[in-house]
Parts: sequence; C-alpha cells; structure tokens
Amino acid sequence: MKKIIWAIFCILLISPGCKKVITEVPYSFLTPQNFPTSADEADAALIACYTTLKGPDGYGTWEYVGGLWMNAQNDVTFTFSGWAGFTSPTHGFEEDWWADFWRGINAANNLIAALEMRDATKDTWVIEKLAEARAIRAYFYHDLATLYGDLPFRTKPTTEIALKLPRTPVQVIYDSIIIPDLEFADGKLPVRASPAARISAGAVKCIKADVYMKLAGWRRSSQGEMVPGDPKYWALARDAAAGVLKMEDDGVYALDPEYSGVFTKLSTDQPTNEVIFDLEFTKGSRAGSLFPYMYGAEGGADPDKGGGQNSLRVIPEWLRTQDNRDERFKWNIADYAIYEGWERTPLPGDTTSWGIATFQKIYPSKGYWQTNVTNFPFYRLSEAKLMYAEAANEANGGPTPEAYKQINEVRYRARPAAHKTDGTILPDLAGLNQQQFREAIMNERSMEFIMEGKRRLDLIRWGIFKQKIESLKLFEADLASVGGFNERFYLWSLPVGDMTQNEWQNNAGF
Amino acid sequence: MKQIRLLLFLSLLLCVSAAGYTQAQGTEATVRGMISDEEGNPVSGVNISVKNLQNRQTVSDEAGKFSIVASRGSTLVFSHVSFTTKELRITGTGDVVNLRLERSRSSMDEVVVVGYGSMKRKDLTGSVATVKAKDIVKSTDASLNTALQGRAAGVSVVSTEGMPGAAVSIYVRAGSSITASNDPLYIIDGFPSLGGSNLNLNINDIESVEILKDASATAIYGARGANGVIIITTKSGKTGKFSVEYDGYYAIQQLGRKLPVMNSLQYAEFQHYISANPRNSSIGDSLWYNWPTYKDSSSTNWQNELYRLAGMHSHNISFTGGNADIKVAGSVSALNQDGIALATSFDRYTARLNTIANINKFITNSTTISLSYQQRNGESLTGEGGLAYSAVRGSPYRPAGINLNDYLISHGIPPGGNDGVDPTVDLLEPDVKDIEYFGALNTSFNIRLAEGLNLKIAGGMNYSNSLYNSFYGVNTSQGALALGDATKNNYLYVGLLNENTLSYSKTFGLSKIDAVVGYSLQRSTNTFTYTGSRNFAIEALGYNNLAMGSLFSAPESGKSVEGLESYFGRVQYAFSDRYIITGTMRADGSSKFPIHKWGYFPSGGIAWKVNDEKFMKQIPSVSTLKFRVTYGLTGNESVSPYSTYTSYGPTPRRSVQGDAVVVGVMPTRLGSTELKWETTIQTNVGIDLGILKDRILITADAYHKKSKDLLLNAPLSTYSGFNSVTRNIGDIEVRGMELALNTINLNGRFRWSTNFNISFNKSKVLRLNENQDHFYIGVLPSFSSMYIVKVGENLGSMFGYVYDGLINNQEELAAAPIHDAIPVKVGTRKYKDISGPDGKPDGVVDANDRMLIGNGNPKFFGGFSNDFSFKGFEFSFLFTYSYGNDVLNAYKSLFPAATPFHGGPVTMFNRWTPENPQINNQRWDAQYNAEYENVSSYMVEDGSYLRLKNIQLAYNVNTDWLKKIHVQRIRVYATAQNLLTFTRYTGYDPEVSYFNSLITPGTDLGGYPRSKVYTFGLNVTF
Repeated sequence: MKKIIWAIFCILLISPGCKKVITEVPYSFLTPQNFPTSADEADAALIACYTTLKGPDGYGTWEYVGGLWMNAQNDVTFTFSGWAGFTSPTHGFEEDWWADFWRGINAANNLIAALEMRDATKDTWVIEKLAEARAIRAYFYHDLATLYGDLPFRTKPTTEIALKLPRTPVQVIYDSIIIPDLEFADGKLPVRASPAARISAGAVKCIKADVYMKLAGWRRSSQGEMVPGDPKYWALARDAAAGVLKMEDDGVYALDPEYSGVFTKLSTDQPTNEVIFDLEFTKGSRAGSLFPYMYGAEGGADPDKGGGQNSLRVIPEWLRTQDNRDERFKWNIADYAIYEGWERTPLPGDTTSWGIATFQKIYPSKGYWQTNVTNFPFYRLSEAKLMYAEAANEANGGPTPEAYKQINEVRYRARPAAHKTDGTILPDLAGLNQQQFREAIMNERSMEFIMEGKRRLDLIRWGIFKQKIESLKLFEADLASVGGFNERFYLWSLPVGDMTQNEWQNNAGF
Repeated sequence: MKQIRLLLFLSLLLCVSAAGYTQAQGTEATVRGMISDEEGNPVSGVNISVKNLQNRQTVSDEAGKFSIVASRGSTLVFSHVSFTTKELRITGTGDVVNLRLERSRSSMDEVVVVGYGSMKRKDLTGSVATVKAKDIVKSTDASLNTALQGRAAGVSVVSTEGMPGAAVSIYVRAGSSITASNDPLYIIDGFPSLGGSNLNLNINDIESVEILKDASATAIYGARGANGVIIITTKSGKTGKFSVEYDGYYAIQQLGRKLPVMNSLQYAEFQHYISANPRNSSIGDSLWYNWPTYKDSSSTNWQNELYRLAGMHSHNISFTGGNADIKVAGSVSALNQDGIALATSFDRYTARLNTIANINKFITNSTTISLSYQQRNGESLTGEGGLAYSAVRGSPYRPAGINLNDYLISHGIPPGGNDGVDPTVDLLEPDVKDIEYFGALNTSFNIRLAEGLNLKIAGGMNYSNSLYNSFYGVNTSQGALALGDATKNNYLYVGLLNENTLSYSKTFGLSKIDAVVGYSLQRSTNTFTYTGSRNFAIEALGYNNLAMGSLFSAPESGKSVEGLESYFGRVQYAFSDRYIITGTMRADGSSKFPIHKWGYFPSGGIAWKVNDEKFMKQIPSVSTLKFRVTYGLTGNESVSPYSTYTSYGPTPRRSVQGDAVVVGVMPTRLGSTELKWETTIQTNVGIDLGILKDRILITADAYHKKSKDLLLNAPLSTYSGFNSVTRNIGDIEVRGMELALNTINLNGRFRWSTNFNISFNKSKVLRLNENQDHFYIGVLPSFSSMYIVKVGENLGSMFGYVYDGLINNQEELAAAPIHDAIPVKVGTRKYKDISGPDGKPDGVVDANDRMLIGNGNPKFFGGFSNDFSFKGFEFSFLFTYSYGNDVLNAYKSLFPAATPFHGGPVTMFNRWTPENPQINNQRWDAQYNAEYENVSSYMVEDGSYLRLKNIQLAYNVNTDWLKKIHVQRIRVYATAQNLLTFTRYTGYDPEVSYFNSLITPGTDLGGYPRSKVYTFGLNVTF
C-alpha cells in the first residue's frame, strides 16, 4: 500500500504546469483584447479598412473592377455583355461588393468601439482616429445605400455567431449613421493632399458634398419607386464643396495642368494635388493593380503584351456629340488595338469597338500584372468643382458667377494647348439659364469622369436614367432582347445567402 | 525510493538512462531441456521465462536446447509466435525438460496490443483488427498505409493518386466527422504520432498493426478516439543470439493502362474539321486546309513521352539480439523510387534503434530513437490543364523536346495556340522538392511496485521539419508569366509527451482483474514560414537563392501551440474466464476550448465466452463462440487551434499609400468561444465463432455511430464582415457491418490459409445549421461544386445535372429544355429538366435541375488473400475490391472538347454526326466547349473494381551448406503489385481521390496513374 501511495505521489509530482499546457496563447495574430492600443496601431486598423475594397484575396481587384463594370453600363459607355448582364438574378459582382464593403464597415466598427473605450482626454490621438474611422464607415454606407437601397443597421463590432436583422430604410441610414459620422469627422482630420489613400479633411468634405447631392436628387427605393430628393440638401452640398474649393485657394489642392497628367500620375505612383481620395496600388506581391488589364483596348488577354480586354466600349451616339479635339477625348477614347510591343493598330470605322484607355495608356511593357501601380480615384478636385457648380445652380435657381468659374476651369484644362487662349474649343460657358446650365454639367461630367464609375448613379439622381437609356439607338435591340428597360437596372440584387438567412425581400424587380 | 524519484526526474528530461545491471540472486538450480515441434524437429527462438520474474528469461538455440535458472515450484513459460504458449511447473531441482510445442492455430490465443496494455484476443470485449508483419512486408509501397489495404475489415485505405510518396489515408469505419479530420489516431509504441501517410516509417520495422474500431477499444483515447485508433508496434529486441538480416529488392514500375489517342493524320482531320465547321478564324487556314499532307508525318503519343518504365530499389538492414539484461533491435533502410512520370521520384532513408534494459529487479527501461529523411521530387500531374491532361491531349504532330512555336514557324505556319510549352519540359524543368526530416525519441521506465502492480513513466518527443522547395523557370508554363517563380516553405512540428500509467493485474479464485489508470500531458508546437520570389534574370540558382529574383512574394509565417491534459482508466473484470466486463473512462482537457475545456468519454463492454460453458462441451466442433456488446463515447478534437478567437491579422491584399506598402490590420476571423468537442456515440455488437479448433474463424461486427456537435462552418450573413463561423452544429450517423473469415484449409507439409474480409458502411447526414439543409463542397476552378452535404443523404454524394443523351435532330432540339448558360444545338448534350423555381419543370436547365448523381463511397469493400507454403516455397496473393463507388471523371468532360491545337482520345472519332446519331460523344464544335464546366451524370462512372493487389512467390533456402557460411536463412522472392484490375472505369485508375476526403471521394482530375510493380527481392539472415 505504501508503494501505491508513493506512486500516486510521484504522478502528482511530475505533473507541473498543467494549467499552462491547456491554456491557449496566440502567437501569430492579434485579438480585440490587445489591439489597438496606440495611435500607430489605430493607423494600421484604419489603413486596413480602405484595403477591404481590394477584395478578400488573390485576384481581389477583380471585384472592384467588376463593380465598376456594373456602373459602366450607362449612356456613355457600355459593357460587352450589355443589359442582359443586369437581368440575370446574380452577376457575382454585387455579392463581392456587398461583402467587401461590409468587411470594411465591421473593421471600422471594431476600431470605433475600441477607440470609444479609451479616455480621449488622456490619449489625445483618439479623436482624430475616431473621426477617420467614422468617415470611412460613412463612405462605405453611402456607397452601399446608393447601390443596394435599404440596409441592415450595424454600428457595433460583430460578435454574434448567428444573425437575423431587418433592413433599415435608406433615409434612416443617412440620418442616423452617415450624416452624424461625417459631421463628427468634418474638421477633425488633417489637411493632406498626397497620398490620397486615406480620408483627409478635404475628402470628408467631398464625401459630404456627394452625400448631399444624392439626397437632393432622385433615388430609386428598394420597393421600386422613384423618390424625389429634398431640395434643402443642395445648399448643404454646395457649402460642403465650397469647403474643398477653399482648400484649393489655400494651396492644398490644384487641378493638374493637363487632364492626361492626372492619369499619368495615377498610373505611375506619382503624387498629384488633384486627387482627393483614391484606392492605391503599387509594385509588389498582392499590391498591384488590375484596372488597366480589364479596361484597356483590345490586345489579347495577356497583360504581358500591354493589351487589355476592351471589355468596356464607348457609345457612338454619345461620342458624336463630343469634340474630338477635347484633350479628354484624345486621352480616353481608344480608337486602336494594342498588340505585342506597343504597336497601335487602328480599328476599322466601326466605332462600337472603340474602347476606353483612361487607365491603359501607361502600362509596363513586360512583367507580371502585379507590377502595375495604377491608382483608382474616388474623388478629384474637378469633381468638387462640378459638384459645387451643380449644387449652386440648383440652390440659387440658376448659375452663379462662382458656378461658371468652376465649370469653366474644368473646361479650360481640357482645351488643347493651341487653343487655351483663343477658347474656340470648349469655350467658356456664359449666359445659360438654370436648365441649360444643368445640361452643361451633365455633359461635362460624362467626359470628365468617363471611367470613374459615376455615370449610372448620376443618371439615377438626375431622374433621367430610364429616358436616356431608352433613347439610345445602340440599346434598342439589346433592350428588346431582355424585354425592355428593367427595374433591375436601378438597384443591385442582394446576396442570396444574406437574403435567405435574414428572410429579406430582394430589391424590386428581382 | 530515492532511485525511483531520480528516474522520474530523468524521464521528464527525456534522457536515456544508462542501463544498470543487477543479477538476480537466489538459491535455485538450472533447468535444462530441448524443445521440438509436432514433427519432432527442434525449435529455435522459443522464449523461456520464469513466471513473475520479469528479467529471468532465455531463448532456445538452433538445436532447440535451453537452460535457465529456476527454483523449485516456480513456473516456466514457453512462448513463440508460431506455437501455443505452454506453462510448466518445476517440481524438482535439476530437472531435464523435453517439451513438444503445438503449432498455434488460433489467432484467438494471440496477444493483441490495445490502448495502454495488451491482452489475448479471446479476452477482448472490443472490436480490434490485427495486421501482421509478414503481410505488411509484402507491400512494396513506401507508405505503411497502403500495406494495410484489404487486410482488415472496416479499414478503408484511400490514396489520392499513384505518385511516389503520394498521400494515403486510412479511414476506420467511415470516420466520424464532416469537415474536421476523419483520420484515425496513430500510436507508435505507445506514443501518438503525426500519422498522415506514415511515410516516415520503414515497414520492415513493424511487428504488427492493431486497428481499434469500437468505442470500448478507443474510448481510452477519449477526445481523439472517434475516428478509430491505429496502434503500430515496432520490433523490439529479443533475448538470444545476435542476428542481422538484410532485405533488399529491385522493382520495375510500368504504366498500368494506356489510353488510345489520335495520331497526326487523325489530328489534322480533327483540327481541319473544327476550323471550318463553323469557320474559326483563330486557327490559321494555311495549316489545316491541306491536312492530307500530314499522313506522312510521324505521330507523337505523349503518354509514351511523359511516362516511362521506372526503377525502384530498397535496402534494409536490421539486427536484433540481447541477453537477460539488455536487448536491442535496430535497422537502417534506404528506398529510392523513380516514378513512372518523368523526373518524379521518392527517396527515403530511415534509422531506428530500440533498447530494453533491466536496470534492476524492479525497473526496466525501454528507449527508441527513430530518424528519417524523405524527399519527394517532381511535378504533379493533376489539374484541369495538368500534365496528365496534356499526355492525352497534346498535339501528336509535333515531336517532343521542341518548342511548339519554333516548330510551327519552321514549317511556315503562323505561331499561336496556348499549347506552346512542351509537356515534357513541364515535367523535366521544374525543380520541385518536398523534403521531410523526422525524428522521435521515446523512453519509458517500467517499475514493478508489487506483484501485479506496475508503474510506467514515459516521455517522448517528436520532431518533424518539412521543406517545400520549387522553382519554375521561364520555359515552364508556370514560370512563364512570372519570369521564373521560386517558393520555399518551411514547416516545423515539435511534440512533447509525458504519460504515466499504473497497471494492476490480479487473479482471485475465479475472478481476474486487469486495471490501468493514467495521466497524460502533451503539447505540440507548429510553426511555418512561406517565402518566394519571381522575375529571375539568372535562373541557375533557383530556389536556393531567392534574392536572385527581383520581385518578392509577401512572406508569411505563423505559430500555434496546442496542449492536451488527460486522465484515463480501464478496468476489466473476468469471472470464470467466461464473463468479461470492461469499463473505460477518459477525461481530456484541451487548450483549444476556453469554456468547454474538459470532455468526458466513458465506454463499457461485455463479452460472453459461450464455448467455455459446460453445455458447449457437447458441441466439440465449436472451439470459440463469443458474443460481444459495447457502447461508449469518443471525441474528435481536430479543430484548428485558436478557432475560438476573433483574430486580427494583416489584410489579404496589401495596403498601399503612395508608392509604399503599409500594413493594415483587420478582423480576419470570427471566433466562437462556445466551441466544444465533436462527440461520437458508438454501439457495437460482435460475434467470434471458431470451428474445428479455430481452423475456421469468423469475426462479425455490426455497429452504429452517431456523431454530434460536428464542427461546421456555419454561413453567416456577410454584412457581419465574415462569411462564416465555426460552430458545433452537425450530426451524422454511420451504420456498418464487417465480416472477417480466416481459415486454415490445409495444415500439413502443404499449408494453405485463406483470409477474407468485407465491410459495409453508410454515413448519413442528420442535421446541419438551422435554416440550412445542405451545402456544396469540392469546387474546381472551371467546374461548379461537385459534391453536396445534405440532410438525409449519404456523405460523398455527387451533385449535378442529369445527363440525357445528345440532341439528335431538330425535333429533339425543339423539345429539349434550354440551358441558362449554354446554347444547345443539334449534336450537343442535353440535361433533364427536373424542376424549376416553382418546383415544376420549367423548360430551363438551371440550378433547380441539379440533383444527386452518384456517390464516391463504396457500398462494400474488402480483401481476399490466400497463403500457400510447401517445403521452402511460399506463395500468396491478395485481391482488394470495392463495389458501388462512383468516380467523378472530370477528364471525361474535358477530353472530348474540340479545342484548337489539341489532340485527344481516339474515341472522339466516333462522334455525333447527322449520319451517326448516338448518346455519348457530342459533335465536334469548337464553339461548344464551355459545356464541360457543367458537372453532370455524364462524368459519373462506376468505379467498382477487383484488383490483384499483390501476388508473391518466395523460396526459403534452408540447407546445411548455409551454416558453413554462417548464414541462417536465405529467402528469395518475386512480387507483382496491381498486376490485374477488373473495372469498367474508363480512366487510368478507379482508385483515385483528388480531394482525399470522405465527403468528396472519388474525383479523378488527372491523378498520377497507379503503376504495375514487379519486384525481385532477397532476404538474408546472418
């Protein structure tokens, strides 16, 4: 018996540190319990939010490209899959966009919750980071609201392992999340032009202007109705844009002297004071960009050879209304195909195969696509100018001198060098009534932002989407093949998984 | 006691203790004698020990003679593998004992290793299968797992493909899980091992393999027992003369089956046709419009270029010997196997040393050191456009070894097509090496505390370092775009174990108690590093100098540590040797679960040995009749560590500001702190029936397993910022039956025995996430998902459209349902319109029309073997079979695609034309190739097979002449593996599993074909 007791004693003796053995210690990841704890860590968390737009992994930028693709079906450009691409129940892209934006919102919510726990009187850095996190959240919500309509209301980090929420009406999302977030952020962020990868003081104002523009104009509700905007937002939009223009006066932002200059700089990682907020890429593994490949002129599928897929094309009827001496025409419109070695082969006169080369002019001639550095702009100073001009025209019942000044600066920049002074091409606008000025803005935006994913959403907020699309000869056959203009062209479909799990009604038309 | 404590300390430090010698003392006399078999021939190698004196033993010599010191009244035990163990009481001093041993006929008398102990098979309550060394060494495959195929009921062996060193998995009773691992727990000499394919083991070192199947047997391993336990026992030293054995063989491997492919003329006809019908401008006109000129050109069959006759040789030297105080066994081995595909090979070197030392009267130490190095070389053949695909579809008109575009230009043909890289280049040029270093050191002290009471203190360490290196130069398909692509990945595993058990065995009158209790603590650490670079201006150094590349891949690294603390025990009580009851219990605490840290796994079993009842004496022909019933809980802890944490990590795509890459950190995974073990409840009923002194022995078992709380990725609304979260939400059940029949048909000079086993099992999904009755799994790039896990259905279900033949004419075209993605036309495939959005056929083939189209798991499988021996000759063969398993032959859809610049199987010529209406081969139409993306019953084939897995003829040279050259024994043998296969499967090999998992079984995506192997071997014992 003594021996047995000894044995048991021995067993106990040699069993040290058991608690430690079965307690898990993380080594290669951080947790909400220990992150973020400093301004630098908060910066890392903020930076990550922007990167969610690049998708979860691998060919992630396809997703962003794909989303742009959806918006590129409008009265200026069209995609080779046409309107049929909009009528199938899923396109793939909208599920990815939805997931990416929400990943960003959850990342922002995590950071916001962590920062709000801290004592801002002691940690003085907290307020600025909190402002940026809320601005990011507002931007993501704003994009989601314009694309998908009513949304679930999420302002706290996700901890639930099962979720079932209703959709909250868009107006509530704006009133309770987007506008308070932007108002909080405005004035608390650093003034910064380049790099524009993070939301700065100017970017907040731009987002605010954009938000108010959308609220002032028409929107399509999830229930399938055209909802008129509230004109009170025009003045707010104008004032927000004016805030950006003030920063131009202060020397923070400036139009690049050449339209081509902006895109050359965006394509070569050079700083430019025109870009206010963008998505940035650079050389390196999983850091490169894919836009040029998707949206360049035709040159076979091999990015190695400098060609793109020419998957976006210009609508000839629109192009005929444009002055082909416009610097933007020359830069944007690809009337050629690129084959190996930068040889430009002019395409035949069939203009429906003309593509858009905005991001394709500067492209490394050899190498992996991940060596492509092209940044994609969300807001440029020229948009702040045109937003100001449009909002002022609406708020004041007609164009103001300042509105003329802003639109004419954009036009001046697009003039060929030989005509900068004589003004025979893209002459300064003057003497327009409110409607004429409105139409001038619509036209100006069409060429200025041809490849920046703005047009379809512009048409919707102007309330002319259906009318414009139906008026184009090019689309006649295409529309007929899908049974005419479809409700599905307005808002995107919700992801099937989220719909079934939450028992949501999809957007009207689906 | 001081000594014991010191030793405990040493074991903790994992030191090998120097063995001390203490001679047994006593007033005893020497017992001498001679041992013979039934025919009167002397038997050497019989182990003779004095009962209850652990370190008193000897071995009979070649003349069958022995001598041992024993006191009067003590009992001598005579044991030998081939003979029934005999006990003899010494009645006087100085006895001379001449003993005749009976050849053991019954495996019921054999000792079976079970968890934390061993017992005679006839005393088992649980279900345990055994595979012996003599059967294992017949296999010439590098993996032990392959050697077990067909040898035991309830054990299925699944390999991904036939590549040398390919992964081979064992599933015991169809596993227990859906997405967590279904791999059994592997225990080598009492120490948990890395398992997997067991490629680091030299099969010549193995004494026996026990497969623990039911809960009564596996519950002692608690949270790791649900998928069965495989106990591998290696050879240990035996008392007796030192002997050295050499075993070596040379083998030739050959592609088992070649698919007939088109020659140049047929190729030209094919290309000519598809370029013109309809006009396809992507194919140069000048080439294909004068195709008859090709009739003079030579044809390349790429199967001949990519596959070869491959050699393989193996050398193994093992030694064993010892005296009463110290026994040693060891081995060194080398295996070099070339694969049948160019530039593929597998090399392995192992070394092993086992010592058993009696330190004093009470303490024995056993220590094993094993080391291995293995290296897998060469490129995989698998994949949608993989090399196995190129072997069939490569253009036959071009000779191997030259660049296609150069060839085209030299023939005045414009270059083009995406088949530009010569497939032989893609095999020969890449430098791919997958290396593993493995080492294990295990030591245990067995301390006899009292009569029948033993304390065992064991410690062990396992170490494994895997290095994956690859370099694809710019000439290879994979390296072309990246301008040279190098990868270097490093995985390191270190496992530590301390395990202490106290065992007790005692007989009180008619009662016998065997008990063991124990405590175990283990901890393992995994780290990994991934690095790589691209864009190599100078390729000469490959992956050995990554800095020669100008574009670096983002490095990744990680570390995880997991720990397990356990208390366990087993009590077996036998009354009158007829009624046996066993109870086991294990409590496991895991680092992986913060809240539900501890799991408790009890089990119980009863057995009734009817044959020992008095009333059975009237039926003397029944030598064994035993009923067994067991019930118990086991677990599966194969959840990744840290699954309960919500974690932050770097963004998958890099964050950029200006021209700088900056690090962004975001939530990457949502954790659920509520996670716990998967639990399996298993009931087993079994019967052992032996007739005619067990010359006919039948073991049958039926079982039911219900696994609950299975860990699944529950889909989560993506607005959460995540796609899914791991939860305990699934239930499945497995029902099965197993039958093993072992007979000794002839037992004289001509000996003939037969083993047959068959296993049936079926696993059904009972429950998934709420609001979810199915999910899809098994996705390949160009295909939609191939498998479905669905409530009420079996695991392994294939899912897709139902193939409905070809559209033969305009009327059929008009009647055919339209397809949501692909335009149908005359001569193309059609699918059944099963349903629609409203649950009714709607004239459209879309997602609503996909249904179950097959199952990759067999209805039954097993093995059938026969062993014959006559004088020095031995002959044996093993058939393995599988029935009712489907194979999803992805290449069946890929092969007939009418693609420019590709050849194909010659069967493509029997295609649909208006004059040749049919149901199988669609028209040639280059615009109708996207169709292959659809998973449909067209791709599903019957994968049932009967395979002559192994056939061996051996001769044992046994003449007096050998003694003169100091050789004990010479054995020569010839073996053929996979010699014959009977199957209706049209691909290379029905034994294929691309995904290597029980829920996605039987996908053929160009797996490396399994070869026929002819082996010639020599075995010499000195």
